[in-house]
Amino acid sequence: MSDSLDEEIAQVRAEIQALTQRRKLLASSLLSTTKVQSRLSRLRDTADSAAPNPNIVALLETATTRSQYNVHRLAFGATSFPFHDPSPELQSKNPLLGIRIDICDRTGRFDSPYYIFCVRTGTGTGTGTGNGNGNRNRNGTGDGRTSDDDLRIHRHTIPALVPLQDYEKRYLPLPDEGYGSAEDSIMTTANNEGDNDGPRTQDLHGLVERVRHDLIAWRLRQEAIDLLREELGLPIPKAKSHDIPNPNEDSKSMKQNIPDDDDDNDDPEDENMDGSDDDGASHDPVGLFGVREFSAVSVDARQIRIIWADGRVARLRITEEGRIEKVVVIGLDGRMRDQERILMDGIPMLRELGERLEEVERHQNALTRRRHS
Amino acid sequence: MAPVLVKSLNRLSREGIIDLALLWLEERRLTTPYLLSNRKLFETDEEDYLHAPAESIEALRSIYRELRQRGQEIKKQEVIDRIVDGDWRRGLSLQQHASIDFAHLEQNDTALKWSALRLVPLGREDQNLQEGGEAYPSNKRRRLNRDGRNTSYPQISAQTFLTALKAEMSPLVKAHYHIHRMQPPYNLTVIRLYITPDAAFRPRASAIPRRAKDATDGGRVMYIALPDSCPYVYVSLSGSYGPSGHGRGARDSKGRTMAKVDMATMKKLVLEAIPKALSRPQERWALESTKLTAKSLRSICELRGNHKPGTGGGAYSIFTTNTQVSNSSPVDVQVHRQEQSDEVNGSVQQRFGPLPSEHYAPLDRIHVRVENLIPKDGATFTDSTAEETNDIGLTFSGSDVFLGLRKLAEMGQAHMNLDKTPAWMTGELGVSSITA
Repeated sequence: MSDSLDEEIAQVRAEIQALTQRRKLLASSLLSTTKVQSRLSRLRDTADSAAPNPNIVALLETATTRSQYNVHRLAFGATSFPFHDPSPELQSKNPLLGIRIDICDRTGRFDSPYYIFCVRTGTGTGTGTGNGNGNRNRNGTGDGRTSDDDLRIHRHTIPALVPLQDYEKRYLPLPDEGYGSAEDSIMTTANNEGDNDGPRTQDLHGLVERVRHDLIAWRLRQEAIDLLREELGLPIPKAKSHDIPNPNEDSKSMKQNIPDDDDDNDDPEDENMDGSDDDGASHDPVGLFGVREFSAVSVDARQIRIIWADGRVARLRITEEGRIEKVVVIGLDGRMRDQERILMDGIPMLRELGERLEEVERHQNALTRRRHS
Repeated sequence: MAPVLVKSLNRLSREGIIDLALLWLEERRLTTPYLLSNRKLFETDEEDYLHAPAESIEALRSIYRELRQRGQEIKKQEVIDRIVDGDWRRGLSLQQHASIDFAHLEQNDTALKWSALRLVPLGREDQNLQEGGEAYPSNKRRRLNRDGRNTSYPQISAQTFLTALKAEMSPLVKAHYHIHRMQPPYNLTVIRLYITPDAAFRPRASAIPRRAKDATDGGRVMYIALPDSCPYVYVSLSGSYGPSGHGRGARDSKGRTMAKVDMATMKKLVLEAIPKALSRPQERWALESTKLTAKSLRSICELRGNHKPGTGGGAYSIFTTNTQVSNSSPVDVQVHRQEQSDEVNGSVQQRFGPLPSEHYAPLDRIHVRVENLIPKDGATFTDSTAEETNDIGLTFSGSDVFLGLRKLAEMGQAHMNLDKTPAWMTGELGVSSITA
């Protein structure tokens, strides 16, 4: 009896939640339409004195600011916002500068945003000690004054494949902490060939640009791999995390790096515990051009592994820009330099790989025909 | 057979053991069981008929499959007995020992104690040193990652790493290496080093252990985990006593105590070999501590992994979670209004972050060193360690330290004043060794 009552209560609660959710959705979509907005604002302007409904005004304002945020996020990809850190140590430095990077994939969906939080390095509360924004960066070279407005990365949610620490050193150099000044200035002058700003300038835009560039390049590499997999008619792996190399196949393709070892240790090195790999793979459907597997080797998608149905294995290395940098194809009897040459010819871009794979397949067919005749 | 083996098998579940046995019986495995067809004459004499040997590997396989199907009526102990005294009565290979350990690691997240180490390019440090000592920008300076080719982490496959590691270590120590790929929640390649008790270059190299169990009992096991595409390496070098779990000095055939492995040296040796094995010409690496040690491998992966950095909690963890789908779009149409039940809970939520969090990483042991003793520290901790010195050390331990602190905070102002709680107490830093 009590069970059924409890159930009922839970059901009703769930329903309430769903309904409030729906109401919220409806209310906000209603508010974000231009028609309603213009109407409401007209109402507010005209009937201001008559019935200043504070509810409506507040709702309207939040709706406009929200739509503004949305527009900014959509248009620029990188937006900033203030963030109040509640912890007592940072009270004097609040608000922190939050930077949000939104990255869109080819289906129009977005990754969950990446965030960087910057904190001012100065200890003081005001900017009174600094001498204005215009020239504070130019004279900071060696005189040991810390500017209140210099930034440093406090927290972030950038994946480890972006070398954020290096970028911070490069784009947000701090004025000396006493000892490091000479060293730092040399580093920056030595860096000058690539940096577009002079030494000592904190280049926040440069940092964000660079981080975003890296994230987008990563996303594009992943996209290119997914797209090629689609082109080849291979099933999409169940999860991104399934793109893991099988140690056995790896060792095959990486053989050129491994010197033939006859160590004193008689160790069976390459066993992978899951014996399911071999039989699992044979059930996989074979895609176009005899390719059975096409996947990124690791998370950063800088290396691709291709396995053909006839046992050939290839490993490609991809540059940041999506160019194929190095190819190794290993067939049943050693490296197949002809096919490597086909894949590497000219300026090989990752997105044109499909045509090249077709050519490789033709080559392979010719090879087998010759062998049979 | 060694009781230690029984012990290490006992840590696994019944199904786990049977699966392992079936795995050992697969083709191409170097684990020949004791069979009717391959026993020797004196083995036949000594046979005790409790576990009759099987006809062939295929027959043995079906025996184990049957064991699996029969479910609970077969006790775990019986299966272990069958393995230890029956089918593998001659002893298990080192590979089998390794697979037992990995099966245990896969089932228990907190089986080992891991520390995360960071890989830093050595070239750049050299250059810093040079420039620091003398204003002399060297020509050999590495170009910073500009051509988009060099990454800030080594791109090396686990196999290549293992080969190099072997080359580094084998002159100094005899070891058995086993490489294992952990399944998706981890996505790691873990290398297990089993270091044999006798050093390779001892004068009495002929010290043959008296009993089979002594051969494996003295050895130490270390683990190195290589996550993909991030500049970290996780190590577990505490050197648990091999498959044994205890380490009384094993004795060799003449009754002398065999030297135990000197752990400090061994640790140093392995730690020095790792960066060398990852390095290549023109690209050298060094290791650096990240102040993170935890039992949970998952926590380590979250905090020092190759995806977004996770968190042990804290005010920023709200940004690492994508709780709602609409959050992951830049356009959020919906009005989010957080209903906060009451003030305390609201501020706890704000300080410690939302709880069912995707990248949440529990830490089991936190050591804090508070320098220049802050007179009153939360005022609630019964830290008996607080003396009248300037520095104090605090150690929190438990299955999830920051969750505990959060619970404490939820109990109200009397227990923990959130306005005075420093950020490290909310788990924001994601480290296990803190200096405040």
